Amino acid sequence: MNWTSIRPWVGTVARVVLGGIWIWAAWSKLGNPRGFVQAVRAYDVTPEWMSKAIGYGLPVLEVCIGVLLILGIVTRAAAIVSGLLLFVFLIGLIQASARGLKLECGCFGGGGTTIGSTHYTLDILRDVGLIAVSAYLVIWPITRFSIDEFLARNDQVEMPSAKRMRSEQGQRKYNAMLEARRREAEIRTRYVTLALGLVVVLVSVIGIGVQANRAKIQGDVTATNASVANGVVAGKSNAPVTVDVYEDFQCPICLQFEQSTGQDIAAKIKANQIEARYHTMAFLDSASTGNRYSSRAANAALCASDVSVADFVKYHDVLYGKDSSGQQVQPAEGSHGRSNTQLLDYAKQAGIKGNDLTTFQSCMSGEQHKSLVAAITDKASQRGVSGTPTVMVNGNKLGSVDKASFDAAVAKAAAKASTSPSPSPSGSTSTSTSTPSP
Amino acid sequence: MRRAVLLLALVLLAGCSSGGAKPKPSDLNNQPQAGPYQGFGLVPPLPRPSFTLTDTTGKRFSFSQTAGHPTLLYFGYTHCPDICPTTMADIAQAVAEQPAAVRSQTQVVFVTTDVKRDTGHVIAAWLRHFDTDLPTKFVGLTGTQAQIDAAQAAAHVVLAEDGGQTHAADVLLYGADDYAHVKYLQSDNESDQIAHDLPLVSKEASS
Repeated sequence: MNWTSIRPWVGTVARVVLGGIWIWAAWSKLGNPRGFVQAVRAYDVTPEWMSKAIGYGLPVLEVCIGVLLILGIVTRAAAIVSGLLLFVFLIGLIQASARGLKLECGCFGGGGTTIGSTHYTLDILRDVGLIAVSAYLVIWPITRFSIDEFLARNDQVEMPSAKRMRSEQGQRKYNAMLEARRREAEIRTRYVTLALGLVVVLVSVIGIGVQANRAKIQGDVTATNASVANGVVAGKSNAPVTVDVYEDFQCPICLQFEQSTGQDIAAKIKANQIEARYHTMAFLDSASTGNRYSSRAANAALCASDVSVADFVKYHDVLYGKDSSGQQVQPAEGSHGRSNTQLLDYAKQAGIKGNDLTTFQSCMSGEQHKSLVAAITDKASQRGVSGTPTVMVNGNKLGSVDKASFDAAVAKAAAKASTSPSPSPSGSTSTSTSTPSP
Repeated sequence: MRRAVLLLALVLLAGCSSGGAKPKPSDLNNQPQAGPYQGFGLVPPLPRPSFTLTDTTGKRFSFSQTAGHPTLLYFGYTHCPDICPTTMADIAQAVAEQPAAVRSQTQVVFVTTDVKRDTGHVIAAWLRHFDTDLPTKFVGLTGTQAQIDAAQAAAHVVLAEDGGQTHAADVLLYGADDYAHVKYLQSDNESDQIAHDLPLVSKEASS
């Protein structure tokens, strides 16, 4: 055993491992195209059209690279593309970490803002390791059990005897043959690479179309008192200040915010100081063990809004409050989410009764506003909301979501509104994109 | 008797596996056949090589210029005592036997292996012995030793040595599809073999 004979076997392992990782990484992203586009948006470096192209096309491209690597065809080109992609990811990770964005990598699905600690160091180390594996395959692309090896099987030129190699004539002939076979291999590689490159580009472009189609929200996205753009609007439209509240019923920091500032908001609505728009996002389905509390709770809240906006606000307050036996309604992250029976009980607690309760029950258990919830979540992502709670006062994102800064922002916006005839965006709030996470 | 049975079994087996029309076995050489040719079949076929040399008038000649035409390629040298002149004569005779359409299309390219003695002038004078009656004149090519080596390697023939005097005697026939499916070696039947196969690889026959 020496390096020359081990090298192609090491290459085979590198190829299969790298290809497997690409396919694995692509798999969950392929299954959830909307989620991955949201993860790309959360990095906050690409314009909307590019986020979509990446979100839909990248997983398809990743599968193509994985397949090429595992088959071992055009290994060098595939490894170059692999290395370049990993390098781009590396830059994305480094910039996110440098800007202090608290993101989940999204490398293997998931993604978006994270509540826990970030794993940038680990992600970056893994990326660097995979770049090294790609580089190995760029340098030594011929590996055992590969199609490349099969295509090159006739490229060898038999070495003449040592005596013959010493003669000028023998050496000349050998070199001429070597050069001819090398040129033929080069031309073959060029054509195979071009052809497969074209196929990969076509497949990726088609993949963008297919994924975009799958990401489309099917079904009805309208409701009596809720819309995709504005969520549920509480308060009067002639109020001087507009507040957008992006929340997820599963998000613990939303709970903190509601407990500290919820009554304040209600009071300001009542005094006609603000108009509040509640955007019921649902992106924490993975935090409840399998029963998608985040989505079902958002749907139930929208069902309450069908009864009336006031009932929505009450129901919303119950979901961020305590149930009749004094227990906190919001389930802990990683626990089993509340059942539909419980969601119905909360409606009773919020004062919905009679026919309204029957309508609510069928709307809630049939998830009639499922599409609307998905559409509101996606709309929020398009607006740069990558975590909850996000609060905007007259369109300006609050730097830190707490009662003091909320009151200050509203006061400043109100002051500005009273001096100018039309409400204009207030400059009082920080424009930083870092928001507290769920 | 046993041999006859064995042969019968083989024929039956062959019939089973191929199914379609079986090519006629060659009566012009004693080698097993590949395809409908009377020469020596090349499997897999060799693609038309690309190399650039100098023709007898001193102009650059790219072998790709002959693409799409049935082309006979031969490496040899003009001072050659026997094989080269007889081979060239066989080629000339085979081309002359062809119907006018095939004859005018067919290109014959001779590449010298003896770069020291075979200047353009010498090659031109030598080729005129063979192609005087033909509508398409033979092309004679020369070049530097490195160019000649590269051309032979590209055409997948054994490279010549000893100042070009030990050289491959293969005549390669490239078809209108730019592949050589068949080659010829010096024999009494060479002319008939070429004459038989030329129409098979020309455009008229394939269309």
